[in-house]
Amino acid sequence: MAFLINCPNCGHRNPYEFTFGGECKQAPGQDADMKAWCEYLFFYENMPVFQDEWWYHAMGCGEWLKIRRNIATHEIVEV
Amino acid sequence: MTRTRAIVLPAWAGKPVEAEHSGWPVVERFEPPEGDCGVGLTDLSHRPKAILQGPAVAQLGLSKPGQAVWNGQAMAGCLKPGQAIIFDLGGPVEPEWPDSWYSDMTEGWVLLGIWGPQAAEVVQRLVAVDIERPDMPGPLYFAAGSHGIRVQLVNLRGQGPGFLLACDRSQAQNLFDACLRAGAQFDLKITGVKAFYEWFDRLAIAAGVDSSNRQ
Repeated sequence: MAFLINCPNCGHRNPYEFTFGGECKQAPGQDADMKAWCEYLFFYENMPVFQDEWWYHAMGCGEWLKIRRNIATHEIVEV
Repeated sequence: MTRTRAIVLPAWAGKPVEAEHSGWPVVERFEPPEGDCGVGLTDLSHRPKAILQGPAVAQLGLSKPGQAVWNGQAMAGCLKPGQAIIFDLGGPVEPEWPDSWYSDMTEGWVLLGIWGPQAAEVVQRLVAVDIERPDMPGPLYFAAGSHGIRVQLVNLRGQGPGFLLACDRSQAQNLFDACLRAGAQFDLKITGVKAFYEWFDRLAIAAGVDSSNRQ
């Protein structure tokens, strides 16, 4: 992975310091059926466009960051 | 309470002359004496360590992540807004933290001192972050990855190069071995606390602080 993540606390850091936490998704409501929960837990869009993702700075400040990243180019436009 | 050292010292370091500090086995010096070296590596794990959270962080004068302050007894580094790390180098070995905002980490972390003329060269081989940060004055604090270990690092920025490294106790031997490998080409020697504090006292005097009553 040839990109850096600009952590608001630690500055630009190697992505290997982070743990990928998946796409940001809206959780189904409490009344949702099993199919909705299954899709929420196990399926991702994974489209080659910008998407919002969770990244955990495990080797640094220990914060969860919400990052807007193009998964095709690794360009990050928002942290 | 008897504590054990998390690090196995290699035989080439010499014969350790140990003393007990509140149950901790502390290597005072080695026989034969360490002598001059390019880099000294000292196990300071017996020193008190803590995580501080809440409004007291700002009272220490820490407002920005990466900033660190030295008060003549302890080094405090800001990890993120509202959370700081304390490495006490000069107070009692059994500290009484002021309030419940302090979480004692003395048993959970190891603390190493890397000091000497070529200490920066060694530390630069351990972590992939800018350890100098020319945009920030004074001591610096970082948390970064090194060999897959989360390492906390303080650049003391005294009169000479000197750093404190901390990591989880379970990873202590890995970090220690990484320091030995990184320092092998820089005449790294393992030293006792006496040699470390001889160097450190020169740093304290330079800061205008009397640390002569250290335990």
